[in-house]
Amino acid sequence: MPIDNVRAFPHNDCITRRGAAAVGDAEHTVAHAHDGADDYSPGRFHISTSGSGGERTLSARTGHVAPAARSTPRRVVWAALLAPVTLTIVAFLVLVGLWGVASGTRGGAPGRPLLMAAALAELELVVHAVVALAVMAAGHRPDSTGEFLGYVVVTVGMIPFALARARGPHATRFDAVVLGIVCLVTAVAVLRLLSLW
Amino acid sequence: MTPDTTPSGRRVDGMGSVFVALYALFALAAGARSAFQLATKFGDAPLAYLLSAAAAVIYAVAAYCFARPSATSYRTGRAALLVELAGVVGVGALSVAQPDDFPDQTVWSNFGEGYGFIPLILPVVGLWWLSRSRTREGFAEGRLT
Repeated sequence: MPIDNVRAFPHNDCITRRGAAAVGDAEHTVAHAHDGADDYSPGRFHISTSGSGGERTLSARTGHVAPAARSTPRRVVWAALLAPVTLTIVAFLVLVGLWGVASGTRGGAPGRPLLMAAALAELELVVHAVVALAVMAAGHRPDSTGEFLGYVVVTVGMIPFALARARGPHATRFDAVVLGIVCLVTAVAVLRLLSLW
Repeated sequence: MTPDTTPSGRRVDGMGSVFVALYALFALAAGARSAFQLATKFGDAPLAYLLSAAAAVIYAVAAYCFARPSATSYRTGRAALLVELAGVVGVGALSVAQPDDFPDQTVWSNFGEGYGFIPLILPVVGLWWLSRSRTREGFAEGRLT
Protein backbone atom coordinates (compact mmCIF):
# COMPACT_ATOMS: atom_id res chain seq x y z
CA MET A 1 0.00 0.00 0.00
CA PRO A 2 2.54 2.62 -0.97
CA ILE A 3 0.00 5.29 -1.78
CA ASP A 4 -1.53 4.94 1.61
CA ASN A 5 1.78 5.58 3.25
CA VAL A 6 2.54 8.52 1.05
CA ARG A 7 -0.74 10.07 2.00
CA ALA A 8 -0.25 9.43 5.65
CA PHE A 9 3.32 10.61 5.82
CA PRO A 10 3.70 13.27 3.16
CA HIS A 11 7.24 14.64 2.86
CA ASN A 12 8.32 12.42 5.62
CA ASP A 13 11.56 10.91 4.58
CA CYS A 14 12.49 10.05 8.14
CA ILE A 15 9.55 7.75 8.66
CA THR A 16 9.83 5.95 5.36
CA ARG A 17 13.56 5.40 5.64
CA ARG A 18 13.31 4.13 9.14
CA GLY A 19 10.47 1.82 8.18
CA ALA A 20 12.39 0.43 5.22
CA ALA A 21 14.60 -1.60 7.50
CA ALA A 22 11.73 -3.57 8.91
CA VAL A 23 8.83 -3.20 6.51
CA GLY A 24 9.54 -4.27 2.99
CA ASP A 25 6.68 -2.20 1.72
CA ALA A 26 8.31 0.98 2.87
CA GLU A 27 10.78 0.77 0.00
CA HIS A 28 7.90 1.30 -2.36
CA THR A 29 6.95 4.31 -0.37
CA VAL A 30 10.37 5.82 -0.78
CA ALA A 31 10.40 4.97 -4.48
CA HIS A 32 7.03 6.62 -4.87
CA ALA A 33 8.04 9.66 -3.02
CA HIS A 34 10.94 10.13 -5.41
CA ASP A 35 8.85 9.80 -8.55
CA GLY A 36 8.49 13.51 -8.91
CA ALA A 37 11.20 16.05 -9.49
CA ASP A 38 10.70 18.05 -6.35
CA ASP A 39 8.81 15.79 -4.06
CA TYR A 40 9.60 17.73 -0.99
CA SER A 41 8.26 21.04 -2.06
CA PRO A 42 5.15 21.89 -0.10
CA GLY A 43 1.96 20.90 -1.79
CA ARG A 44 3.40 18.07 -3.84
CA PHE A 45 0.98 15.86 -2.03
CA HIS A 46 -2.32 17.01 -0.81
CA ILE A 47 -2.37 16.59 2.91
CA SER A 48 -5.80 15.59 3.93
CA THR A 49 -6.81 15.96 7.51
CA SER A 50 -10.21 14.46 6.92
CA GLY A 51 -8.76 11.16 5.82
CA SER A 52 -11.01 10.80 2.79
CA GLY A 53 -9.59 8.77 -0.07
CA GLY A 54 -10.59 10.89 -3.06
CA GLU A 55 -7.27 12.62 -3.66
CA ARG A 56 -5.50 9.39 -3.24
CA THR A 57 -7.11 7.83 -6.29
CA LEU A 58 -6.35 10.91 -8.29
CA SER A 59 -2.71 10.92 -7.32
CA ALA A 60 -2.40 7.22 -8.07
CA ARG A 61 -3.76 7.69 -11.56
CA THR A 62 -2.14 10.91 -12.63
CA GLY A 63 0.84 11.02 -10.39
CA HIS A 64 0.02 14.61 -9.63
CA VAL A 65 -2.25 16.29 -7.20
CA ALA A 66 -3.41 19.84 -7.08
CA PRO A 67 -1.31 21.62 -4.48
CA ALA A 68 -3.07 22.31 -1.25
CA ALA A 69 -3.37 26.01 -0.68
CA ARG A 70 -2.08 25.93 2.86
CA SER A 71 -0.94 22.44 3.74
CA THR A 72 -1.71 21.81 7.34
CA PRO A 73 1.45 20.73 9.09
CA ARG A 74 -0.28 18.73 11.78
CA ARG A 75 0.31 15.32 10.27
CA VAL A 76 3.80 16.16 9.16
CA VAL A 77 4.66 17.30 12.65
CA TRP A 78 3.41 14.23 14.42
CA ALA A 79 4.90 11.92 11.82
CA ALA A 80 8.28 13.53 12.36
CA LEU A 81 7.83 13.21 16.11
CA LEU A 82 6.74 9.59 16.00
CA ALA A 83 10.14 7.93 15.86
CA PRO A 84 11.98 10.08 18.45
CA VAL A 85 9.12 10.03 20.93
CA THR A 86 8.62 6.28 20.55
CA LEU A 87 12.34 5.62 20.89
CA THR A 88 12.38 7.72 24.05
CA ILE A 89 9.64 5.49 25.49
CA VAL A 90 11.65 2.43 24.44
CA ALA A 91 14.78 3.80 26.11
CA PHE A 92 12.85 4.45 29.31
CA LEU A 93 11.39 0.94 29.24
CA VAL A 94 14.84 -0.57 28.77
CA LEU A 95 16.13 1.52 31.66
CA VAL A 96 13.32 0.42 34.00
CA GLY A 97 13.72 -3.16 32.76
CA LEU A 98 17.42 -3.30 33.54
CA TRP A 99 16.78 -1.59 36.87
CA GLY A 100 14.20 -4.21 37.81
CA VAL A 101 16.37 -7.15 36.81
CA ALA A 102 19.42 -5.65 38.54
CA SER A 103 17.64 -4.75 41.78
CA GLY A 104 15.94 -8.14 41.88
CA THR A 105 19.09 -10.16 41.31
CA ARG A 106 20.91 -8.05 43.89
CA GLY A 107 18.38 -9.18 46.42
CA GLY A 108 15.72 -6.60 47.17
CA ALA A 109 11.97 -6.71 46.81
CA PRO A 110 10.83 -3.99 44.40
CA GLY A 111 11.12 -0.59 46.03
CA ARG A 112 8.81 2.36 45.60
CA PRO A 113 10.99 4.23 43.04
CA LEU A 114 11.02 1.19 40.76
CA LEU A 115 7.25 0.78 41.03
CA MET A 116 6.72 4.47 40.29
CA ALA A 117 9.02 4.28 37.27
CA ALA A 118 7.17 1.24 35.92
CA ALA A 119 3.84 3.00 36.46
CA LEU A 120 5.17 6.04 34.58
CA ALA A 121 6.25 3.75 31.75
CA GLU A 122 2.77 2.28 31.63
CA LEU A 123 1.28 5.79 31.51
CA GLU A 124 3.51 6.62 28.52
CA LEU A 125 2.38 3.41 26.83
CA VAL A 126 -1.28 4.21 27.36
CA VAL A 127 -0.79 7.65 25.78
CA HIS A 128 1.14 5.97 22.96
CA ALA A 129 -1.69 3.49 22.37
CA VAL A 130 -4.33 6.23 22.42
CA VAL A 131 -2.36 8.17 19.81
CA ALA A 132 -2.00 5.02 17.69
CA LEU A 133 -5.73 4.34 17.81
CA ALA A 134 -6.56 8.01 17.15
CA VAL A 135 -4.36 8.02 14.07
CA MET A 136 -6.03 4.85 12.84
CA ALA A 137 -9.43 6.40 13.49
CA ALA A 138 -8.31 9.38 11.40
CA GLY A 139 -7.78 7.11 8.41
CA HIS A 140 -4.24 5.76 8.54
CA ARG A 141 -4.10 2.02 8.00
CA PRO A 142 -0.88 0.16 8.83
CA ASP A 143 0.11 -2.55 6.37
CA SER A 144 -0.84 -5.29 8.76
CA THR A 145 -3.72 -3.88 10.75
CA GLY A 146 -4.48 -6.98 12.78
CA GLU A 147 -0.87 -7.42 13.84
CA PHE A 148 -0.63 -3.70 14.61
CA LEU A 149 -3.67 -3.82 16.89
CA GLY A 150 -2.31 -6.95 18.55
CA TYR A 151 0.92 -5.15 19.38
CA VAL A 152 -1.00 -2.12 20.67
CA VAL A 153 -2.82 -4.40 23.12
CA VAL A 154 0.42 -6.15 24.12
CA THR A 155 2.29 -2.89 24.77
CA VAL A 156 -0.29 -1.67 27.30
CA GLY A 157 -1.43 -5.05 28.62
CA MET A 158 1.64 -6.64 30.16
CA ILE A 159 3.11 -4.23 32.70
CA PRO A 160 -0.07 -3.97 34.86
CA PHE A 161 0.12 -7.71 35.61
CA ALA A 162 3.75 -7.56 36.68
CA LEU A 163 3.10 -4.34 38.59
CA ALA A 164 0.18 -5.87 40.49
CA ARG A 165 2.42 -8.71 41.63
CA ALA A 166 5.38 -6.48 42.43
CA ARG A 167 3.44 -4.13 44.71
CA GLY A 168 1.62 -6.90 46.59
CA PRO A 169 2.38 -7.57 50.25
CA HIS A 170 4.18 -10.81 49.42
CA ALA A 171 6.36 -9.44 46.66
CA THR A 172 9.82 -10.96 46.53
CA ARG A 173 12.95 -9.91 44.73
CA PHE A 174 11.92 -12.19 41.88
CA ASP A 175 8.85 -10.01 41.30
CA ALA A 176 11.28 -7.17 40.62
CA VAL A 177 13.02 -9.43 38.10
CA VAL A 178 9.68 -10.28 36.46
CA LEU A 179 8.78 -6.58 36.30
CA GLY A 180 12.12 -5.89 34.63
CA ILE A 181 11.72 -8.70 32.11
CA VAL A 182 8.20 -7.56 31.25
CA CYS A 183 9.45 -3.99 30.68
CA LEU A 184 12.18 -5.29 28.36
CA VAL A 185 9.71 -7.44 26.42
CA THR A 186 7.36 -4.46 26.18
CA ALA A 187 10.23 -2.40 24.77
CA VAL A 188 10.67 -4.99 22.01
CA ALA A 189 6.93 -4.91 21.29
CA VAL A 190 6.98 -1.09 21.03
CA LEU A 191 9.89 -1.28 18.58
CA ARG A 192 8.01 -3.84 16.52
CA LEU A 193 4.95 -1.60 16.60
CA LEU A 194 7.02 1.34 15.37
CA SER A 195 8.12 -0.70 12.34
CA LEU A 196 4.51 -1.51 11.50
CA TRP A 197 3.19 2.09 11.33
CA MET B 1 16.74 -15.31 49.97
CA THR B 2 13.94 -14.89 52.44
CA PRO B 3 11.81 -18.02 52.43
CA ASP B 4 8.19 -17.06 52.67
CA THR B 5 6.41 -19.78 54.56
CA THR B 6 3.46 -17.82 55.90
CA PRO B 7 0.17 -19.48 54.97
CA SER B 8 -1.07 -16.45 53.07
CA GLY B 9 2.15 -16.09 51.10
CA ARG B 10 2.63 -19.77 50.45
CA ARG B 11 5.74 -19.14 48.42
CA VAL B 12 9.06 -20.86 48.72
CA ASP B 13 11.32 -18.07 47.51
CA GLY B 14 9.53 -16.49 44.55
CA MET B 15 11.83 -17.79 41.84
CA GLY B 16 8.94 -19.73 40.33
CA SER B 17 7.21 -16.46 39.40
CA VAL B 18 10.05 -15.71 36.99
CA PHE B 19 9.42 -19.01 35.20
CA VAL B 20 5.66 -18.54 35.21
CA ALA B 21 6.12 -15.09 33.67
CA LEU B 22 8.66 -16.21 31.06
CA TYR B 23 6.65 -19.25 29.97
CA ALA B 24 3.45 -17.20 29.83
CA LEU B 25 5.23 -14.58 27.72
CA PHE B 26 6.52 -17.23 25.33
CA ALA B 27 3.13 -18.92 25.14
CA LEU B 28 1.67 -15.54 24.22
CA ALA B 29 4.39 -14.68 21.69
CA ALA B 30 4.51 -18.08 19.97
CA GLY B 31 0.75 -18.55 20.18
CA ALA B 32 -0.18 -15.16 18.74
CA ARG B 33 2.44 -15.46 16.05
CA SER B 34 1.44 -18.95 14.94
CA ALA B 35 -2.29 -18.16 15.12
CA PHE B 36 -1.70 -15.14 12.93
CA GLN B 37 0.43 -17.11 10.47
CA LEU B 38 -1.90 -20.10 10.37
CA ALA B 39 -4.84 -17.80 9.73
CA THR B 40 -3.25 -15.63 7.05
CA LYS B 41 -0.70 -17.78 5.20
CA PHE B 42 -1.00 -21.39 6.21
CA GLY B 43 0.13 -22.62 2.77
CA ASP B 44 3.50 -20.84 2.87
CA ALA B 45 5.14 -22.98 5.52
CA PRO B 46 2.60 -25.27 7.23
CA LEU B 47 5.26 -27.27 9.07
CA ALA B 48 6.90 -24.18 10.56
CA TYR B 49 3.60 -22.65 11.67
CA LEU B 50 2.33 -25.89 13.18
CA LEU B 51 5.62 -26.29 15.04
CA SER B 52 5.25 -22.78 16.44
CA ALA B 53 1.71 -23.64 17.53
CA ALA B 54 2.97 -26.83 19.21
CA ALA B 55 5.67 -24.81 20.97
CA ALA B 56 3.02 -22.37 22.17
CA VAL B 57 0.99 -25.22 23.66
CA ILE B 58 4.04 -26.60 25.45
CA TYR B 59 4.89 -23.15 26.84
CA ALA B 60 1.31 -22.71 28.03
CA VAL B 61 1.31 -26.13 29.72
CA ALA B 62 4.57 -25.29 31.49
CA ALA B 63 3.29 -21.88 32.63
CA TYR B 64 0.08 -23.41 33.94
CA CYS B 65 1.90 -26.20 35.79
CA PHE B 66 4.33 -23.78 37.44
CA ALA B 67 1.47 -21.53 38.54
CA ARG B 68 -0.45 -24.47 40.11
CA PRO B 69 2.11 -26.38 42.14
CA SER B 70 1.34 -30.00 42.96
CA ALA B 71 3.06 -33.35 42.62
CA THR B 72 1.29 -33.90 39.29
CA SER B 73 2.05 -30.45 37.93
CA TYR B 74 5.70 -31.01 38.84
CA ARG B 75 5.86 -34.12 36.63
CA THR B 76 3.83 -32.55 33.82
CA GLY B 77 5.86 -29.36 33.94
CA ARG B 78 9.12 -31.26 33.84
CA ALA B 79 7.88 -33.35 30.92
CA ALA B 80 6.91 -30.15 29.08
CA LEU B 81 10.41 -28.75 29.61
CA LEU B 82 12.02 -31.96 28.38
CA VAL B 83 9.84 -31.90 25.23
CA GLU B 84 10.71 -28.24 24.79
CA LEU B 85 14.42 -28.94 25.10
CA ALA B 86 14.18 -31.83 22.63
CA GLY B 87 12.16 -29.61 20.29
CA VAL B 88 14.52 -26.66 20.30
CA VAL B 89 17.58 -28.89 19.87
CA GLY B 90 15.94 -31.11 17.23
CA VAL B 91 14.28 -28.35 15.22
CA GLY B 92 17.33 -26.16 15.66
CA ALA B 93 19.63 -28.85 14.26
CA LEU B 94 17.22 -29.64 11.40
CA SER B 95 16.79 -25.99 10.47
CA VAL B 96 20.55 -25.58 10.28
CA ALA B 97 21.10 -28.84 8.38
CA GLN B 98 18.16 -28.52 6.01
CA PRO B 99 17.06 -24.91 5.82
CA ASP B 100 14.88 -25.66 2.75
CA ASP B 101 12.44 -27.54 4.98
CA PHE B 102 11.90 -24.37 7.01
CA PRO B 103 10.97 -21.60 4.60
CA ASP B 104 9.66 -19.47 7.44
CA GLN B 105 10.95 -18.98 10.97
CA THR B 106 9.62 -20.90 13.94
CA VAL B 107 10.30 -20.16 17.58
CA TRP B 108 12.83 -22.98 17.58
CA SER B 109 14.58 -22.36 14.23
CA ASN B 110 18.35 -22.03 14.55
CA PHE B 111 18.08 -22.87 18.24
CA GLY B 112 15.78 -19.95 18.94
CA GLU B 113 18.04 -17.36 17.37
CA GLY B 114 15.11 -15.08 16.53
CA TYR B 115 14.28 -14.87 20.24
CA GLY B 116 17.78 -14.30 21.52
CA PHE B 117 18.39 -18.04 22.09
CA ILE B 118 16.08 -17.81 25.10
CA PRO B 119 14.10 -20.86 23.84
CA LEU B 120 17.32 -22.87 24.20
CA ILE B 121 18.44 -21.44 27.54
CA LEU B 122 15.04 -21.41 29.21
CA PRO B 123 14.39 -25.19 29.42
CA VAL B 124 17.92 -25.82 30.69
CA VAL B 125 17.58 -23.24 33.47
CA GLY B 126 14.02 -24.42 34.10
CA LEU B 127 15.12 -28.03 34.55
CA TRP B 128 17.83 -26.87 36.94
CA TRP B 129 15.22 -24.91 38.91
CA LEU B 130 12.92 -27.96 39.06
CA SER B 131 15.77 -30.16 40.22
CA ARG B 132 16.40 -28.05 43.33
CA SER B 133 15.17 -29.87 46.41
CA ARG B 134 13.55 -26.66 47.60
CA THR B 135 11.50 -26.42 44.40
CA ARG B 136 10.54 -30.09 44.59
CA GLU B 137 9.37 -29.73 48.17
CA GLY B 138 7.42 -26.63 47.31
CA PHE B 139 5.56 -28.42 44.53
CA ALA B 140 4.90 -31.43 46.77
CA GLU B 141 3.42 -29.12 49.44
CA GLY B 142 1.44 -27.16 46.90
CA ARG B 143 3.36 -23.94 47.64
CA LEU B 144 4.29 -21.51 44.90
CA THR B 145 8.02 -21.53 44.47
